[in-house]
Amino acid sequence: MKRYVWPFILISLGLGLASFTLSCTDPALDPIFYALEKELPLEDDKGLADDIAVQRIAKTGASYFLAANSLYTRTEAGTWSRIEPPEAGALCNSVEIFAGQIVAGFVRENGTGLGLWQSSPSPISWTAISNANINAVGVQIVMLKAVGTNLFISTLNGGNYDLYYTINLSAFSNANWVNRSTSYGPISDVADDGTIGTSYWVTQGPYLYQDTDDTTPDAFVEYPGADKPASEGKPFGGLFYSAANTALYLSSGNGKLFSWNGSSWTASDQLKIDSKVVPFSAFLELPGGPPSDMIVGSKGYGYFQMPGGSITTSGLVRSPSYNISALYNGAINSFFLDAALNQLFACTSGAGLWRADYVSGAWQWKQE
Amino acid sequence: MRSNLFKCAGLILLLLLFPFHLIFSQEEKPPAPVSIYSLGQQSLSISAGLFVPLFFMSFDGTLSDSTNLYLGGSGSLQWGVHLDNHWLVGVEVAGMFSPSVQKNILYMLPITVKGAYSFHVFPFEFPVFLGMGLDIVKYRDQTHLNFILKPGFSSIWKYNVSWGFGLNAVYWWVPQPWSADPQKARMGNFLDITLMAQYNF
Repeated sequence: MKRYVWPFILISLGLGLASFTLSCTDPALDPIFYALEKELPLEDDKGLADDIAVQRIAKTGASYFLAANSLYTRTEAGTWSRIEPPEAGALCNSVEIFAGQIVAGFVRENGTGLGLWQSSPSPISWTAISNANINAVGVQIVMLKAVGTNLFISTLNGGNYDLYYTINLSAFSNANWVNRSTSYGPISDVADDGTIGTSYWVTQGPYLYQDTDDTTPDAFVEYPGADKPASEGKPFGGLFYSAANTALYLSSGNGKLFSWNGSSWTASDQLKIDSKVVPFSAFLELPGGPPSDMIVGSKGYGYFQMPGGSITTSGLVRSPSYNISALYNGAINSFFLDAALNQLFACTSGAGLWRADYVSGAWQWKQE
Repeated sequence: MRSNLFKCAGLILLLLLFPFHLIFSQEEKPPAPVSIYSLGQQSLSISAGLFVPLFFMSFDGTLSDSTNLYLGGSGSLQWGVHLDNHWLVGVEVAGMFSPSVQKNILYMLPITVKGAYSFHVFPFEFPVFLGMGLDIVKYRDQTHLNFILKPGFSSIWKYNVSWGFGLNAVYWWVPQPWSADPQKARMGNFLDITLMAQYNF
């Protein structure tokens, strides 16, 4: 009998010992039972599909406006409803609130641009922006952003990307380039450097441009300094000025973050996950501070917390929790902070719109 | 004379009808116990059924509000060898899945060594057993190797010498220590209730 029993005793001891010594656990993630205990239901169905691509969200008054191939709106307590475009079947992927108006770019279903349109928030009644460059036949609006007193509009016309600005939606000026790379790419972001400098900054593909006169952005040059942020050919992600942190932030697709203190750029180390470079995207500053905590999105790795606004990659915390897998592995296009309601929105490619409510010291995410 | 004959016949009839066997019968001995298994006999069993998440508990005894897991499924394969008519030792590989409130799936794969003691009440068997070993726990991007204890019991109906069918009820106790932050350490407590088929050879 003993010769039957001893092998089983040894096997059981071995299995027990193995459980304490072997491990394929990731110590950066929460333990499984703890993570399950803290889970909350994610669905808060506000009428959006879970897999849509959301580009941008803006708010005026008590109404949100969402650009996600179509233009949607909802009130703070309501559900999303589609806004009819100026032409039947037209698509919308850019929206901004400027001068009390909703400003949106539309594209026909066949891909030809329909230009820039404006409307009051309610009732919706579209009026085409009157400008020969912006509303020429076939012009696509690829970016809208309000910076200071200006609304910047990036267009795509015949394969060329251009940048315009206006202070009143009536008169538009071309942002002139003193020297621009012949290798054009989409103009992805515009920012100024607030009180720490006097410049406008523009990112176009892997190039960073500066106009040192922030009153009139009409003379952009590629940043010439030796400390020029290097994206190694990858497109830059986003630009963000934080008054609390007295810094202008820049993200890149090569896994690096940069900050400008008004006189020079500082670069972080490259962030890799599973040997792959993390392509960063948009920034957002969280309430509180100074210094303010920030978050930076990515294309496929969710977002990262930047404690105190530090760009040091070793201090970045990948978020949200890994069990919110759609957002943890999401490609984030932009963020929006509704400071009045203490809510955070993340616009993703293919994982819909996410909203976080600040509850008991933590952001609790739900999918709209 | 005729009345005497009748009296004798009646007496004889009474004697014939009297249950003499009750006076002279001896107490029956219980049948000798049947020895079903002997040393070296083997058994294979397969089971499948429900997996019930019970509760999580921290190491200081605090119960969690909820496991946030729904009813799942489990199954197992077991090989054992009988030591005598009652004792069995064996190895079991099991598996389970259970969805969470966020629609993710928790998977566990315990590999255990078992010892069992069977009570025989023909045609039934009632093994009581304890398994211990290694549990591979996987949830989204996280994987753990944890210790597991699996006490349980079965009710088996012996269809014939070779085959038996029955029901298992097994408790899964999975401690999950976490040295990086002991506050996050938990013990998982689960129950599986499965139907089983057993083949002895």
